Amino acid sequence: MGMTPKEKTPFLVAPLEMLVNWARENSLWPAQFGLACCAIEMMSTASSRYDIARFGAEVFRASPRQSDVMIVAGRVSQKMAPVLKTIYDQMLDPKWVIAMGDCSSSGGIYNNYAIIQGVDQIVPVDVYLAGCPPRPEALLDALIMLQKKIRTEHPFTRDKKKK
Amino acid sequence: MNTIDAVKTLKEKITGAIVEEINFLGQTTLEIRKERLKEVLTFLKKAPNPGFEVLMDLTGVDFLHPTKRTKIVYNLHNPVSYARIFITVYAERNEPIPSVTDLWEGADWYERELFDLFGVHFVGHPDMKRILMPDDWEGHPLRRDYALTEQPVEFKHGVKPKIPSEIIPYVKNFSRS
Amino acid sequence: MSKTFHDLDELEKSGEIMELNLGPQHPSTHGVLRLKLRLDGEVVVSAEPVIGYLHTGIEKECETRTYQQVFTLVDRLDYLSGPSEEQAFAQTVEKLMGIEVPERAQTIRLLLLELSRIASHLIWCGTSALELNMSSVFMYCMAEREKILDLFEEMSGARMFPSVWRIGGLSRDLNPEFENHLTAFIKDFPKTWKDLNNLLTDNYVWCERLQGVAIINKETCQQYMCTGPVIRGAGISYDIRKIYPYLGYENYSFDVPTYPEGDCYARYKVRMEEMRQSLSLVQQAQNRLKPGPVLTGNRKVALPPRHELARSMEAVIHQFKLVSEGLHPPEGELYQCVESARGELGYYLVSDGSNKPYRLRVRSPSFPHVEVLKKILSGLIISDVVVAIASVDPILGDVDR
Repeated sequence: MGMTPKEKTPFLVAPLEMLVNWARENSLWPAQFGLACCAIEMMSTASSRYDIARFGAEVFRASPRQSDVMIVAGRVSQKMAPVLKTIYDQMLDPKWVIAMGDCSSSGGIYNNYAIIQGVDQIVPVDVYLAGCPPRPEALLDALIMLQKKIRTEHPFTRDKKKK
Repeated sequence: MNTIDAVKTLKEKITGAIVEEINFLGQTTLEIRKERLKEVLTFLKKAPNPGFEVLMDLTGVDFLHPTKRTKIVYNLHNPVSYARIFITVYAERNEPIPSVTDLWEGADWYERELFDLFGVHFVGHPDMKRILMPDDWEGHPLRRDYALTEQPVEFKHGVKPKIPSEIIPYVKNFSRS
Repeated sequence: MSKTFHDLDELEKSGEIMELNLGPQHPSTHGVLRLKLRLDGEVVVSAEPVIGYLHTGIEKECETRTYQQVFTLVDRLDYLSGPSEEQAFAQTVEKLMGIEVPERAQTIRLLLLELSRIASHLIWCGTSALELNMSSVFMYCMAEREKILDLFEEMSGARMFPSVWRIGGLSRDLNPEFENHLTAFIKDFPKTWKDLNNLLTDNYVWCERLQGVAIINKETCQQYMCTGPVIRGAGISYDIRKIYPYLGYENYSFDVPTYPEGDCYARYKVRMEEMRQSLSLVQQAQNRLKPGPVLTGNRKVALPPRHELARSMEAVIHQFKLVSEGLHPPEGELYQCVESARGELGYYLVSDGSNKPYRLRVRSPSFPHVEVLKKILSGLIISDVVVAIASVDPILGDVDR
């Protein structure tokens, strides 16, 4: 990345991948998928003390077609699993998943007939976040980690690699 | 009218319905024969003297000994004198129980929940189908012979996998005294 | 604007009904609630709530855990007022075993219960206003709730679930800084309450959207066993803290607000007034704090303090038995109830004398409130449906268990 030396025609030159990644990571719009207690901490992160808007994730879109990242906040039960898969399928590429909390990462404190032991049995997860519920600062840390992951990946061959 | 007078009135008006009466820490529980259940509940609700007009809770407890059966518990509340009474009735497996949706409309979902989790059928219910589990689920989870279906928890460095509910085993009585 | 019932019957026959599925993932529901609406244009002909999307199997799981381990499981049922669940469970076991809780523990428990009631009502106010697109109210309520969560964090280290309840008292005492922060909170909260009141109560938009919508009258409350702010908004003064007092509520002075109209606006006013009464209870509890123990001395039930373990063999044996096996209540069945922020929360415990509960049944307050939706939603327009669900204040963790 560099600036051209002449002052009359200033241009910023950078590799295309870096610009695309910079745009993607700083405007991640989450899809609202708050299920249980972790959803309340997600709402706290979106409110004024731990502001998630300064990281670009201000609008929590209700429609999955308009969002980039799905934050699965809460326990996923047997009846909810097909709904989760439908919402994930409706999201457009590129898309990422943050599994927020113990229950979506690994089943959490519940180990029985009703709870799916980890949401990665249904959708591919990019960042796991532990805590019951995780603090809002931890959710911001997960978002920063996801931003770091996006920065280091190749934006155009990412979907081919997945397949 | 408090609970003790209500039980006395019930014994006078409807004879032969009560199997057992338990008074434990201020809580009165009456076990009723299945055939007289509707009669007893209608009397307790409609007659002004007991006046237990509100059904606070409708739940079940499952037993495997001496026979496989479910105990259904009705928690009745008197909104004037704030007295409470518990009516219980036993239902064997696959034995139907009369529904109380004509007395209390709100018992609809409670009976559906009992059907879903315990497998108790209610005769006269408008729409008997599953409520908490998916519609195509097989089995009734809260029965005592339905396994908890736990996944064993794995550990590193060659430690054997453990099942969480067996880490502290079930102990019936004090082992010392 | 609502159609009468004979119009609705004719509509069904004419074949102009549209079925709309609201949820389970939707921004306007308080959790994963699915509503199958049958609409004629914008008017709801009939509504059927479908639940079960958050069913966790907590009741079955409690049968395989010891009494102390159950506290963490039931905490997460009604996740906005976790202390109420813990208090109800602890109360049931303590009454069953005949354990006396020390007075300082009772006062601190009451303090935490009322603080969590204020926090729960603040979230209700914020999210209801957010659904009517008043997002600044949401920000004010969440900012105020953060102060209460700071107090919880100071007490126990965790923000939402301060699991300090033990059978027989509390696990730790308040640290000296807690009272200063609590005094500061009590001084600041009336100003925020006044701000919310000025923003909402006489607000033309708020009044037009809430008054006369989704009326739940006395007969419906009795048929559907509604409790809490729903029944107090219908004119019946039913509060478990006054009728079956626990934790010493009979020694405190507070009012139970009741409004007779039965619509969403009455329930809103009930909750706003309850926040003020809870604040006065918090102040009274703080004035009553006296030094003393916070955990019962009965060693068969509560862990001994750490400094005793170095000196007494009996204490070591008691601690070993309690941690590796748990406590044994006598055989029997008991029902105890508590006034949570949503209504009557009851626990029905069946014990067979072993170290694990035989059956733990949670009588959740939100279950009948979601059931009553199938009756009150007919005849409303879609924008009123959102207001009606918000005013009833369901928490789906409690409904589905």
